[in-house]
Amino acid sequence: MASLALRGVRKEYGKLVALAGLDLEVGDGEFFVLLGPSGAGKTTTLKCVAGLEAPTRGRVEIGGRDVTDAEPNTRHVAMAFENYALYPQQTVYDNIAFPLRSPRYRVAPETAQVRIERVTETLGIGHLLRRMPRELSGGQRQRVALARVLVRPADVLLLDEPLSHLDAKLRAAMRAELKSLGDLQSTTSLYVTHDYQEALALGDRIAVLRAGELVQVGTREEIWHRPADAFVARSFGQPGINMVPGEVVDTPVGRGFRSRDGAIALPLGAVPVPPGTAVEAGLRPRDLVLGERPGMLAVTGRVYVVEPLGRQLEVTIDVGAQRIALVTPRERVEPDSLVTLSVPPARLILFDGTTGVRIPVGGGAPEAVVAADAVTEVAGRV
Amino acid sequence: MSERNGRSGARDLALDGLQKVFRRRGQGEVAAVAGIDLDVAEGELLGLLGPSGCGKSTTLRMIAGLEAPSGGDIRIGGASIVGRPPHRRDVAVAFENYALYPPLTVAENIAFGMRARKEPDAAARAREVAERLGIVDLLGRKPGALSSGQKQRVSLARAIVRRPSVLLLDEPLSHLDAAERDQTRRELKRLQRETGYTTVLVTHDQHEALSLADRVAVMDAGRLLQVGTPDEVYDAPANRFVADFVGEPRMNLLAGRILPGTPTGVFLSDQVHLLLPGLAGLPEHGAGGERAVIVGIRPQDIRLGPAADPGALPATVFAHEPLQEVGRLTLTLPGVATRIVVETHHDLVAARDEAVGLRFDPARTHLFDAETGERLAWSPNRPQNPSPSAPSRPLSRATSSS
Amino acid sequence: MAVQQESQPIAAERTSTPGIAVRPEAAVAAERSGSRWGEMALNGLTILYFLFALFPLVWMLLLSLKPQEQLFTTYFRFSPTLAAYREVLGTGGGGSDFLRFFLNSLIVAVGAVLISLLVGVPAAYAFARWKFLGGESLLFTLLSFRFAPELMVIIPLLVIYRRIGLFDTHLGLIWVYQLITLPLIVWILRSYFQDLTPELEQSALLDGYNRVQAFVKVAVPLIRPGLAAAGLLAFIFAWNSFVFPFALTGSNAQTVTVGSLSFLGGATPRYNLTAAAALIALVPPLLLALSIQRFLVRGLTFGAVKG
Repeated sequence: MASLALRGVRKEYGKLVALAGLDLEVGDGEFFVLLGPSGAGKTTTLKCVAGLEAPTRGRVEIGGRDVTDAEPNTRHVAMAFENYALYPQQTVYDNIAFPLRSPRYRVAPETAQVRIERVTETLGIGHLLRRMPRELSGGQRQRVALARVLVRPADVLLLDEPLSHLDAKLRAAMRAELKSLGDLQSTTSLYVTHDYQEALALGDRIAVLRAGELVQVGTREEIWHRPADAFVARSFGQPGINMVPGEVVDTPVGRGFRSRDGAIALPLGAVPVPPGTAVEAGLRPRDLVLGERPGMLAVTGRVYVVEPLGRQLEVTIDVGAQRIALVTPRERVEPDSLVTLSVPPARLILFDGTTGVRIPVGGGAPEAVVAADAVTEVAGRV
Repeated sequence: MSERNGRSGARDLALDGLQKVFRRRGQGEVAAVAGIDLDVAEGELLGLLGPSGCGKSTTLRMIAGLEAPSGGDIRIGGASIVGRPPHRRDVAVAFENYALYPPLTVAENIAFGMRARKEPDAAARAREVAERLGIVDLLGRKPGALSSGQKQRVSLARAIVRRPSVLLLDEPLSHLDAAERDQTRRELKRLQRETGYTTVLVTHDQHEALSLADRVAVMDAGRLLQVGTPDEVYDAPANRFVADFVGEPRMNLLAGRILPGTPTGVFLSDQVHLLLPGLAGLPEHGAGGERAVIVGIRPQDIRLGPAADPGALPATVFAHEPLQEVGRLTLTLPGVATRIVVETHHDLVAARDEAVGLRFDPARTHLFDAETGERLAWSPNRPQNPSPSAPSRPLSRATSSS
Repeated sequence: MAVQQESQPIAAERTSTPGIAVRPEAAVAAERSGSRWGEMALNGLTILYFLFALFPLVWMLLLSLKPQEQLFTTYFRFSPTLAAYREVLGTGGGGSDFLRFFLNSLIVAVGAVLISLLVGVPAAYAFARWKFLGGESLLFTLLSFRFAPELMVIIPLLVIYRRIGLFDTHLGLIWVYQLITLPLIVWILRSYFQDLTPELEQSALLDGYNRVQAFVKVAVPLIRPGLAAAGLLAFIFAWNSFVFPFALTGSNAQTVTVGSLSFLGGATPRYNLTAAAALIALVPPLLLALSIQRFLVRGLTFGAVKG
């Protein structure tokens, strides 16, 4: 086990910049998730750590040792590939035993067998050892690939979208298993995914990547409640966060937010930007409530679409020119009816309208709630 | 209410014992669609839901006329359309891969079919439909310059410009990314309601089917397993397959036994006895012998309490996933092989191996026959006020006897 | 109601209805009903082609079984004899160089293929996996050996071979055969390596193997079908080569292709002997092909598509 650090790692493929100088530190034993859309540079990062790609610039350090120029087989790194990369001509057993027969990690066949049995037992694939990879289902292959990674000693585990080829339900089940897998949770791991739920469920810390650049690194709470910018906010949540364009306005009780068409007005408290600044207000669908609630700000809108979602409903409401989605317990909501929805002002996340960077909204949430009605009135007059 | 008011005749769709049998070398006959009966009312959106290979696409292709049925009938407005070529069926399809002609502009793509039939007002109609779908500014572009969501809309425009009696949508959202999918799904639902087309939507995505459809028809292995509103299918799945397929996170399905001595509950293991008041009234319970059942309960319908609660089932935390929107707990019950998933409030914190108590709401506990998988009808003694948010009274109990 | 629909979707083929753009499949469905006649016609055509293609072989067989005196007087009705085979193989007591030629061919062809594999497999791997300076031109140069008529290079080669003592030696032939076998093996195997996902070797690298071990233990075993196909094709080309052994050998290293023709050189052309010799020469490639047929069917088509 060891810590892992990337220092200014840049990777270019010809003119294409895959990674634009990445600085990242993963602590000893930390489970670190890299999240981003395809093409963000997640897999390139993993391959630079593994030594399968040489960085154009920058350094990779494992346990404080500079391994930038080291051969992959000397880095003490294990990797699970997105496509599993099982050897098709070998049995499951031989696949898992493969690292234990290598010059570097060779152990006595008996020792290997004990270890393989332990790992496959944990992963529930003990009965598949004599099969060939082509005879396995997707979920089983995924487990075999994982077993091959866990069976050998490694300082750092690299996991490249290990669940992406599984169907939604199997993915959820495997996620819980990964979460409780002791070996995985105690070893320094770098986990790549484009699925925000995987990131939230598994990561001790999460790094959000966009176009080869690090947008934010933080715990799941930081990322969720204080996203660095609108891109990070949009990357998390289903249905996605509502973004309301508008501007900062002055009110008798402090600064406020007013949507472009004036239909939505919210108190902000102290904000470090002058009135008139173009901003976007982010409201998560599960923070909004249908009907009036004390201490929240009520706005009226017309129901656009109602979608049953099992126990809940997803309701999309036109508030002025803005289409707002919210999730609510199942009840009777008619399309085209006029409804009231309540916004908890403290849950509002404010972003700069041009750069998308988050603007911290001044503390005092309770006062903001009290001030809510005043703002509405003011906004109405503006 | 619709654009089709000028035309007369009902536009309901009926499938009557529809079958499709493929003959494959070495396998004999394979029934892709094994006789299904289905009525889609005029203006209704029916979601045909099932896993890949369940026969839903074959059904769609038979309605469209791309595949000849091996038996049964397809009727639109009461008249059989079987035997008619696709273009004379008054049915339009929006295909999963959009099937746009790359060298033509969007406007030409939309008007293509009408041009081919030398209809005079092709361009005007294309524009009208484009306005309705909000793609007027795309009319001059080529398909190559469109995003997936835009292509999807063009494909839809091309299908409805002909004012068909029946509109078939084949996995319309499958190629869109998450943000585009949310938006397009809502627009599609709105559009269908406004235009009033009789619509069949084929999808493998239960979320899509529940969201969009007036009624959902769940298919597996060529058979219709259940037809009902989204709420009906979700609240009272007709069998184990539907229970498992519909809902996210998936329903917990646990094998259990009803023993002759204690007909008031289900043993999930030697140590776990789930009390279900009213179970004794299970009509199929027969002579009261031992009976194998599957207990189904949705992750949203389990309440979490302290381990000391005598009225709760004891469970141990296997994994806790703080997903922010909600929390998700995976738990083990003593002696039960299947892990149980519980959806919790987003700010709940739980550590691995922590002991907790689980309360089940009998009104939301489903029973299925272990052999046939069919739903077992039983009437729980409902709590007086089955409010979804209030925790129910102690209704389940753990016993440590064997 | 069910029965009458068999051929209905046909009408869909010629209309252009944008909503229904999967017309070809409707056509396929329609064809299925008439497929019995189509299948029979196809089989008939195949049989005709085989008759046409196999006729020379049959003719050779007949020729080789004819006695010398009936050689020019009969077509299909003659008194068959194995005399020609006996004479070619020298078992009749007359003695023959044919067996020696046969052995020469075997040594030279096998040798050429083995050396080509030894050099060509790593080369193909390198071409498939790495982009390096001049890689593409090198690959094309290799292929261009196959464009040039052998006759063009044969005179200078002859002079050089005589100078350096490679004329009429096995080694000399093996060397010059690389022109035939090496491009074949490199080009076919390169496409096989390209079809392998690089993650397989990368995985081995991380599992503690170095690059050579990853190549030998992971990549090579996975292209075995390609190895068989490329090896066989190279062997056949080497075995059948005529111009090189004709020009570059005397009596010592002469091969069957050249040797068989010597029967035509006398006062009376001995067509039956030539036919018998040619048929015997056909045996090794045929046996080889049969023994690795399992790999071959997949291998040849596989390589053919991408090679």
